[in-house]
Amino acid sequence: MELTKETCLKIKEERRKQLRQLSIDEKIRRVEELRNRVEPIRDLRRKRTDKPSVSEER
Amino acid sequence: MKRTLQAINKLKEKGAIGDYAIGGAVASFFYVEATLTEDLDVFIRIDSRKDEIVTLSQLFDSLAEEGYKEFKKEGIIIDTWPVQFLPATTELEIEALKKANKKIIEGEEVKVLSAEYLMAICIQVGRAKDKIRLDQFLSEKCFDENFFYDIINRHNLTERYNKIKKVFEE
Repeated sequence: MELTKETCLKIKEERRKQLRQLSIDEKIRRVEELRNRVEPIRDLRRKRTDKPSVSEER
Repeated sequence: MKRTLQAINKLKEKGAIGDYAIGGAVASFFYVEATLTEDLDVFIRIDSRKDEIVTLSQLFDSLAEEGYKEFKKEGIIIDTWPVQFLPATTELEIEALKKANKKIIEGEEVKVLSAEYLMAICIQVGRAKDKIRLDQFLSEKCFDENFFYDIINRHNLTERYNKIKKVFEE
């Protein structure tokens, strides 16, 4: 199969259709899994942003 | 999520909250493709007079009794989910809560806002992420158009909706 822009869009749409049709429990399971991967990174970023600057620490 | 919902149902049984319904991103999973979300939004009915200040102290006391005391941003962590309890205050939210549908999530019976009310609340709140969610609903055509237009007409949201829709079309 030749990978044209149209084929890619068709594959993408098909994939999205499959994702929409997942059961609610499966959607939540996937979101929880993704959150577990993303949250530690977000927490680290928050900590870095919340950390007082050297001048503030003084 | 199951234990989170069980804890919320227990709050209702104990009378710490009245009627409630899930809104926000998690509710939208019933109708559109799932997206990453940080928390679970729960609309709750608070019976108070107009001149009273609404507090959620009874609710938080009940949660503390169950050992839930930790907050993350605006949500209180119940099991693994930060839960935001949002008192239904606008006419639209009160109506949405009354007309919420019973659904099952991970074996737990819960009430969930309908697609049309979720869309109307997105218009009313109007943050960037609400507009993105509204666009998802519109492109996936998973709602009753007549019911949706009736809601936004009655709650004076038609003009705001048309403005947002115009941006989508540009």
